[in-house]
Amino acid sequence: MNLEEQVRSYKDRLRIFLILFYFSENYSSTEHPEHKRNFKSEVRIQKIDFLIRNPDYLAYELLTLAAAEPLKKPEIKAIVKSIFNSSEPQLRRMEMERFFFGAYEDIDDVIGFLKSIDFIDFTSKKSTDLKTIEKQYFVTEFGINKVNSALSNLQALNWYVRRCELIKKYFGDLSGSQLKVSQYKIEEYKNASFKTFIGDISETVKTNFFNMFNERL
Amino acid sequence: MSFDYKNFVNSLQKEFESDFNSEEIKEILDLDTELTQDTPLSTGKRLEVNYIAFTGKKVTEEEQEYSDQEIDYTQEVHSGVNMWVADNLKGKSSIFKIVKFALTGQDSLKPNISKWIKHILLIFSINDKRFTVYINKEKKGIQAALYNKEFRGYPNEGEYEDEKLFSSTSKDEFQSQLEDFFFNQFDYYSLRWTQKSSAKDSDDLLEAGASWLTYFKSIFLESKDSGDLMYGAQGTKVFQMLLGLHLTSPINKLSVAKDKMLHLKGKQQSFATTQISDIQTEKSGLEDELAELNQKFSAITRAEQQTANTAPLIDEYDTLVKEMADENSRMLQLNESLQVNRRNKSKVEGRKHYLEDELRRLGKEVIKIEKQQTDIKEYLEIGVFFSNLDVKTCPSCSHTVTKEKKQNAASTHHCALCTDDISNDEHEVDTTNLNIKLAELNQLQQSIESGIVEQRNELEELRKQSNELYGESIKLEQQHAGLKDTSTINSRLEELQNTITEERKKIRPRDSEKNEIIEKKAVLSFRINQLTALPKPLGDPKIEQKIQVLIKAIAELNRIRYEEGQSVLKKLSDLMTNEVQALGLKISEISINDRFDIKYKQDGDFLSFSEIAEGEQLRAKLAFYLSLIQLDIEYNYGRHSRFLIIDSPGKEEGDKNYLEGLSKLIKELESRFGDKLQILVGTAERTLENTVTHQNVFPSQTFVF
Repeated sequence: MNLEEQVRSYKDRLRIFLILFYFSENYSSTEHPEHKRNFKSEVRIQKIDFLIRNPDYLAYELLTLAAAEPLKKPEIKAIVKSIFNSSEPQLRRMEMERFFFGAYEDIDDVIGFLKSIDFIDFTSKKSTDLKTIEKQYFVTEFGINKVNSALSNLQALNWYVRRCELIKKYFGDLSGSQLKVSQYKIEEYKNASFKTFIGDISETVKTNFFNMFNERL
Repeated sequence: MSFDYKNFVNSLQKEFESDFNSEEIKEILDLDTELTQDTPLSTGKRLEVNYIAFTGKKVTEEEQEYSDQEIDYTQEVHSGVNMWVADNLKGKSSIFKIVKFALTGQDSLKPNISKWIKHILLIFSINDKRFTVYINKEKKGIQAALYNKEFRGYPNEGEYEDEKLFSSTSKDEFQSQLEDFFFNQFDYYSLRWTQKSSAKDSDDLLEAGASWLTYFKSIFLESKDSGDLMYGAQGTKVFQMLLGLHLTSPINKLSVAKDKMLHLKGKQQSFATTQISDIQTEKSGLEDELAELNQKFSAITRAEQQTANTAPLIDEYDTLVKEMADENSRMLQLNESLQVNRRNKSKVEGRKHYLEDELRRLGKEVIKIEKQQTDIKEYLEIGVFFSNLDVKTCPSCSHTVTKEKKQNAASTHHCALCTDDISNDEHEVDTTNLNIKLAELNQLQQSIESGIVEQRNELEELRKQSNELYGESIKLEQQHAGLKDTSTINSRLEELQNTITEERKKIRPRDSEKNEIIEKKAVLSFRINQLTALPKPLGDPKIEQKIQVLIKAIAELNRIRYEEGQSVLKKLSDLMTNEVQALGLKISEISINDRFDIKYKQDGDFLSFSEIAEGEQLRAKLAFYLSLIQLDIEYNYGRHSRFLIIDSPGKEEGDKNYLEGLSKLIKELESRFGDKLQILVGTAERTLENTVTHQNVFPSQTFVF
């Protein structure tokens, strides 16, 4: 495994864990008292991951949200500006393939790793056609402790924390399907055919931003 | 009476010997039969009307009391005095005019009355020979004939055909036939005279002759003519004819010849004048032409001097050429500057683009580096985050991985989960290397960023340059646009070139033009001189002398005639004196000169007829004609037909003495010459009733017919 692949694999592990950590609900179970938080649906993971990996799409969604809720315009304007000023669309972009129902990447390895080190646990049911459905993820007390103890000291990872908080703030309530519908509105996303990478929409965002705020990004 | 024509010619020739020989004199006079044509001795013939008849119908436009009355007038007329006594406007004059119509062929009836008359029959006699005139006016025009026979009934078609002397269907022809007849009977001939053509613009001289109608004026003394002794300008001709003095015909002929020659001379002169004026016209035409040529010539000379005026044109041309050259060099300079500008611009732009590309590339590079740095940093930190972690559960089967299992696996370099050999795996990330790499990346980033800064500066500089170049190019373009439109200059140049060429052309071909004019001028001058020098004598050069010959001959013949006729004229004037005195005029003596002017001596003055008081003129006139008749009757001189028609002799002269005198004279004439003459008298004067045997008295207010 070369460095690049290793880096990618590391990052995937971190991102998926943080998604599960930040977007999960408090949970308590007598059967598994170590399960402290609960996250439902893999699709939701995929969609949130897509927003993290594609800041331009995130910006687009934010602008769409601002258009729908004008009160949020000023803060969203600042957020979008900072995203583009820090070259996030290039720096932070991690391309993602489009699968049958949108952005998708196999995360089974990552989930397996996280489970093996006891950060998370997960359950699922098999449908009659043997498909795995109703995936549920549980963040363990060990995992939560690790975040709380280690993460604040790691500056380079701070971006992920803040990004998750940001996405949670604006889109945390949305289910995976809702997010999917929202993303599908974007031409690039829609037009990316099966198994191709979803293209850059920085220019579209810039245009929308200009149209909305009469200011160039 | 002997007249030696030969002698006459010789004496004339002597007078004009420097101009003509006697043959030429004879030729000028051209007399032959005329010399014996006249004789003062009477033919002894008299004209007498015997019967007057006419029919017709009084057709009027407006209804009158006499409308549609049939006319059927018959009247026997006798030798001596025949008198019609009727009120004025009752038809007396019409009867006399019908007589005139029958004897001359001229209808002088009032047109409305003429229309009434359909048939006229008149019997007249010359001495004892009777003739009948019949005029049929039934149809348009007339049918008239003279018969060598006396008959009183209107002839039917074809009747008396054998007795017909002549007949005609036109008045003119009938007139000339009657003229021939009477001229023949009374030895009359047509005394000639000349008159100007009545046709406008014609200066021809027409020869006219006295007609039977003219001589008839000495028969029919109409009341309207009472102011003249003799009828019109031809009166003396009538008088001469009636007298029949010897040499009258030659004198008449020579007078006509003289008149013609005088006219010819006048014409010649006027012709000469015309010719002179023609010459003048031609000359002035030529002079005009000459003047025109002179003008042309001086115009050319002027024009040649004006060709010096091409100098300003050439100056303008040169100036324009210079201007054009200046403009062109300016344009060239501008174009060059523009080109340089464009070159610089494109260089700057090229560099700009290069830098921009480079900056983009560097930007990407920086991002790539940053990304690598981020990756490494993240990698390291994620490594920290996931460090010191034990594999506790198998993600596949969820079995706990025990400490022993993990220690065993580590000592045997096998994976604790899948038990694969991991002895060759670089399990642990070499953080030192990564940190070095990170430091390298930092350095690289810094150097790239400083490069970016440099390039940005350069780009900024280039942008400034580009702006400057753009400004400059604008300025140059403006200057270029401000360049004079050389096409205007060009067309003006072309114009000037043409004008100059035109002007220059004027010089050379003008020499030949000048020569041509000089030549023409010479020809014209020559012709003008010729016209000035040449007088043009034309026509008969001796016409004046010929006229003199004629004048002399006429004068001489007149003298001879007068001398020879002296006794006749003396007898006539005596007769006239007696008559005027008998008619109550206080005239002591009457004289007749060689031109047949009659002068009446009254109170010691000789007066012409027109100078006699109006109230006495008719008596003088009657006296004149009666004397002529008496001259014939008593002395057997003259050619009067012894027939008189006197219409209204007392009209103007209501003088009681006159009427008494007239009455007495008529009675005397009747008694003395009753069988030798005939006088028809029409009068409204009732006092004249019963003066003669043959009278037709019409009661007051009744029509004669």
